[in-house]
Amino acid sequence: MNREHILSSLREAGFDVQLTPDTSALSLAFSVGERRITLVHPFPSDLLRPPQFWLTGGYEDQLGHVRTERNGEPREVCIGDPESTAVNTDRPEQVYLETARQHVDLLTRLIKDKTYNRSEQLREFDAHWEMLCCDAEGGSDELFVVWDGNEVERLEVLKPLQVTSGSDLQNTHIALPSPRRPESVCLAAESEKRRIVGKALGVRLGSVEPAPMTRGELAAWYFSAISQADSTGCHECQKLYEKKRRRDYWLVFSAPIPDGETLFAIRWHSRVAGPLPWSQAEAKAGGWTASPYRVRSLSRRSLVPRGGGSLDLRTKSVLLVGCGSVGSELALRLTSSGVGRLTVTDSDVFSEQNLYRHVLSVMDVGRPKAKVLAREVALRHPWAEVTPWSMRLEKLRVPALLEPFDLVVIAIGSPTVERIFAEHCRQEALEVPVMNCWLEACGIGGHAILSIPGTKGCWHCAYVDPKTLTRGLTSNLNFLKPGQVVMRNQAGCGAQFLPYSGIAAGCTATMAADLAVRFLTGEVETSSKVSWKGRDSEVTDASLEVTWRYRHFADSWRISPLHDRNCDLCSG
Amino acid sequence: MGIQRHFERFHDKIKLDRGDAAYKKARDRDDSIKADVQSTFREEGYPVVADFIQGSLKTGTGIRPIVGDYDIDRALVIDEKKAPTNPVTPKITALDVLEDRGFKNARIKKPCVTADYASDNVHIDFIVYKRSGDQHYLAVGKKNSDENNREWSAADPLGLLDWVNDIGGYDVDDAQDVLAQFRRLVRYLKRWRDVQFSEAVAAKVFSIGLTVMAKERFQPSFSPEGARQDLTALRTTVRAMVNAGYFHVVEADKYRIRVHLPVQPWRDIFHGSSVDTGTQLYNKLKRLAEKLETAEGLTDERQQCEILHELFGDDFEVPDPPKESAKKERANYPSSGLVGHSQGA
Repeated sequence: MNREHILSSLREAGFDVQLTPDTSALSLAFSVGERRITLVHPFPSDLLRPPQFWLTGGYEDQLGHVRTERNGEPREVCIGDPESTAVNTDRPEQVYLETARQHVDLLTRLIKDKTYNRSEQLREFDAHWEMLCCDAEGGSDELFVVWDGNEVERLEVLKPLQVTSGSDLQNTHIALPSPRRPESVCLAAESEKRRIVGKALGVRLGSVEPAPMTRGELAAWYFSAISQADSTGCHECQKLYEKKRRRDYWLVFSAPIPDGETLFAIRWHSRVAGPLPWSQAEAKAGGWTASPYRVRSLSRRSLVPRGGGSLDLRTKSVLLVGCGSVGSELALRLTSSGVGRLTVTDSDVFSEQNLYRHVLSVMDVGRPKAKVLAREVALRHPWAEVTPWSMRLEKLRVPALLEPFDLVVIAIGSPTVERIFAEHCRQEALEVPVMNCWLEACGIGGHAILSIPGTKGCWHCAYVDPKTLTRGLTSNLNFLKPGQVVMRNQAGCGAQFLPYSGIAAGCTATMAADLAVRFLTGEVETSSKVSWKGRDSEVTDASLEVTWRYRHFADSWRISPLHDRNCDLCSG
Repeated sequence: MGIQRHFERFHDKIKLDRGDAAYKKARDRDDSIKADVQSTFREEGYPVVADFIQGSLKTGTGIRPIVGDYDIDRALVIDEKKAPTNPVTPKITALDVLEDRGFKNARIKKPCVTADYASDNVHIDFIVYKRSGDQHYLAVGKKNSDENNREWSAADPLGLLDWVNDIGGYDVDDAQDVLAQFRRLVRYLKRWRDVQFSEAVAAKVFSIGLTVMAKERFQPSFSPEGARQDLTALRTTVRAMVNAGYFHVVEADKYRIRVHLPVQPWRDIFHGSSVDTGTQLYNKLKRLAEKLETAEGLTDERQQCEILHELFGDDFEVPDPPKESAKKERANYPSSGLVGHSQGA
């Protein structure tokens, strides 16, 4: 990187730039009104990210996108996420030119436009608050909070365990709702029987000011902020802490900011127990100190969308039949998408032979599949209510059992039992949508069909024999011709198994879950089908034959209508 | 049940293969008369060195006649070195044999010798070739043609059969299914011709002409699962035939048709055909495409069948309206009891 070349390019573009005497850094000055703003940029050894500039002089007040530093140190300016920017390392002078322009444009606008500056500070509230929470050693006070930030909530604060090599959850204060809910989150956090060290209150603020720059400003900022709490919040606060004399009070706040919402916490502490201070004077008289805490939210409202799930699915109820390789993956995909109520059913126990293509572990061998899967899913996705059943599909031919569900998903890979079940649903005119999914041997592919009552297309549409145009015994979606020996055998009769990998199971489950979620969110409104196509190398090695559909299929993951014109049930 | 099964029922009714019982009399008659002709040719000094069936029975595109005769196209090949100079000579020999054997209306046409055997509904065409190596020459000329109107004309009858039966353009695993669809389409077209045209005009809409057009413009259609979709294939193929440039405008709304043989001698199959024939064929093909489009757009099978019945005649049956009670239970069960599958979860 030729520093002189960069300097001359910047100068040619009209920038006022200098090299520091030791040439290790570049300084840039520009004017905003009467102010002369100065930035400095220490040259990196490699240009791995856009050049960073630091504000060294000309403006002392708080600015959005400018890091708050103590002791008058240079303040880092943020022009965007470096991880999401590709840098042209072959043209460093161009990189510097564009970066310098962005810094100057941003700072000029922030300094000139107070409204914009305030809005940007609020947008960065969390980052500023985090800076405020940093102690001298660079650590910060944190609090895990199980609260969605909406309604006023009474919480209990549990003490950290201080376990060597422990998790963040173990070694951090955590505020849990009292009474506890949802169960799984609370159980996970409480599993080590931690001591309750205080009460906290979750309060929603109607609005919030930009975070204070220093801890010295925190108390005044707090009393201003608390005045923004709605009447319910203040009332609850007073009710909780009225006539109490404590040495610690914890308050957790939620507040709207541009593009979202922030959560933050303040702990009031005094050597002498007393009532919660309601003014700066009371705080001073009682020797109260306010400490900022960074909130790590364990809230469904924030974490489900953050993980790509949909909150709209929290009221949806799904019955998943079959907890095998596909079913177990599917259960995780559905709940990770936000499905709130999942019932899993399987009469089988987990075997060591299932290990390498299943989400369960060796610790679960010999246990009922549905039960351990329900536990696993609930741990992974804490807000999902997961209920285990042990019924087989054929035993589920009871309308009253099925009707409460928004969707029944069948992942058993048995066309015979699925046919009997489909016939039952048809004869009983069940209004429950049913999805069947399965994979095929040797990684050749997987399929899912969704039958929505009242729309064209049914289970039988996927089983019309393309040769005879009559109802077939195997699906016309299949990529392997029927009537071939695909099972493998390791130890004689009774030890046969269908050869496929965990990857094939995962692909099938993910694709099926995608179809299910699109249906549950209302995107898919008619009976549909979808397939993924794998390579045929293993099939060729096994001298198996593929179908017409496999040879011509080029629409992996594309959802298409299920209806087949040759289905005598749908076209009669 | 889907319109495809109605098409296949129709196809089962109209298709004619050489092995069919209905064709037995014609086949027997062909076998015996062929033996006589071979014997007479041998006696005349130009023995038959090869013979083969030409036409639709060899390409799997034969249909039962609605009325009239079962056709036989029998090629007789003699060696070039022993062939008479005059190509009409062996044709006269064949004519004599046919007349001796009781065939009626026996006559020598320019490319063949033709005769009827009325009591058996058999119409036979003998086509005489001489052969040099792999090259065939067709005996062209009528009984009294002078030297300027008769010749041994280079031809490739076997190449034509191979061309019609060719499956080289298709994936080897799909080829038989695709070829079978093509053959069904040609049969549909031939039956459509027999129904839609007067007998006189139908005789001028040559089967080989329809076959070549259909082959050149064939648009196979199968569902993603591999189920046959003859209605779509026929509709797109006919539309392509209409738009392919076979029809040449001679004046407003008047057309002449020109379709060249895809093999030697590359001649226009419809050479000498009238403007009336060309115009009628153009208009009726266009209407066929439109009607097929209409049928394809319908969801009611009975309505579809009514349109197709109008196009293809009585052999395309319109089903009776189902009674409601029967409709519900009109299951179409599989014929197999057990079959291995590849499904798992």
